[in-house]
Amino acid sequence: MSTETPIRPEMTVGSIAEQYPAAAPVLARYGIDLCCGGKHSLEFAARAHGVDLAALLAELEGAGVGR
Amino acid sequence: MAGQVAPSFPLVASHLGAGFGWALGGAAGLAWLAPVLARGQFLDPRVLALTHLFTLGWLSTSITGVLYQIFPAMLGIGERSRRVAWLALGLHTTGTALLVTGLLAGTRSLQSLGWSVLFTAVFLTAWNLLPQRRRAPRNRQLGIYISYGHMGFGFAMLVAGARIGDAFGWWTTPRLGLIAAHFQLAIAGFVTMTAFGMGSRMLPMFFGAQARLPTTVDRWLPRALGTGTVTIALGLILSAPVLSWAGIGITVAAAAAFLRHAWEWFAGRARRALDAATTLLTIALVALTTAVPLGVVAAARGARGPGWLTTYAVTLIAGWAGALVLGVSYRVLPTLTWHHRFAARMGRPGTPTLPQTLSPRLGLTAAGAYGAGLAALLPSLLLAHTGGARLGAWLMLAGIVATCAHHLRMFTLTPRGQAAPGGIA
Repeated sequence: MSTETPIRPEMTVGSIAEQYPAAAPVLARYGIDLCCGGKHSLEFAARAHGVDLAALLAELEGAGVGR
Repeated sequence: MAGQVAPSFPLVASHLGAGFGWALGGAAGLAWLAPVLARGQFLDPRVLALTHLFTLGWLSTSITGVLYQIFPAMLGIGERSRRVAWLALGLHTTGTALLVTGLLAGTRSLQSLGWSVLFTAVFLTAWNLLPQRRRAPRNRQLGIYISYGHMGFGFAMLVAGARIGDAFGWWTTPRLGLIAAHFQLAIAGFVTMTAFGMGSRMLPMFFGAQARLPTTVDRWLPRALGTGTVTIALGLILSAPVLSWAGIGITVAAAAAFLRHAWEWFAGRARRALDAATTLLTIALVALTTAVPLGVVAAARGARGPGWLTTYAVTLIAGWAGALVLGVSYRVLPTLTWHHRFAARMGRPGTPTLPQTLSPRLGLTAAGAYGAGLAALLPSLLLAHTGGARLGAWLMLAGIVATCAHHLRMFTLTPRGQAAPGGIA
């Protein structure tokens, strides 16, 4: 999947939260947190929460994550 | 077995489940004893038993369960032995039952037996978790809060042991001073210390706030709270008001620093509408904010103001710590339960997503009932209004019952295709 953010679907939620604090509000809006250690990939977390991955990545980009 | 890094669903869920069992008993007991509390009779043996049902039964069992979750999840290291964790849970449950029964019946031998079993359980939990923090690959500062918290627990138990020795006639201690010191060490030294550590990581995450606790505050907060709490306790035990007030000053400063940042996380939350978890966490913050001035007035009035003392204690136990534990359960349990039950089936037809295992309406009803209960109970205790106190206690019981129903629902959901009553279809 092509994206302009440096965030890739296979990155873990934990590493995203650690590297990009601006991602926290976006992830929280979808109920994605680090309760289980954030060891799962963003793609897994999106499917677990029934979230469209492309929309999530777009929203992360819109929030300026990684810029 | 040492250093397992995945949270154990059965271990965490069993701790939280046992905690909810105690919470139900405690809330029912509160509904029964609310008039006694409203009359300020906080030294009534039934009230002492009820207090320990809440603190040792509900709060401490639940906090230990959350520790078995956050050590692997946040510190990146697990407990030393899972068998010891199970043994400690069994001993903690047994010890609490013995102590509460002993307090209720006024039986010293049961109280001392319960104390001994509990001391063993707390020691085993400390042995199982605390040395691990030095080997943690991340979040070691969180481990410091937890270690200090367990030191507070240990001091609280030693003071309780001194009270039991007094009851046996082995020595003489100032009763009120020791009870007050025991309470402060248990609630500020253990519960609040651990809650500040966990809260400084979990609250920004749950609220979705970008801000974090500044590193300098993170470093001195546990030291300040620990120093303040021990100084208060020493002042109470030695009947030295100057020491107590110095400790109160330090403790209030620590609480104010935490609350300042916590309210910033609340204000900067990602979702303006609150769900069950964030509603309960907000109630917990309101309760802690209220408890700080209440505690100062209660300390100034001392035994001359039993209503203030009772209200301060209930605000901290049921308001701050109780709502916090309930709120955290709405995040930790669903995530763990979904991973345990459904993660391996993800993508297959009929498998629910994590949000589909929740019932937002039931959760918000539970949070609303608990909050309304506190809002009715606390002023009623201060104004010695028995009817309001009883109404508040019943509402809180309803909130806990609804929370249990919410969490049980997650365990009983069945994927479509495995037809069963109560499925998620």
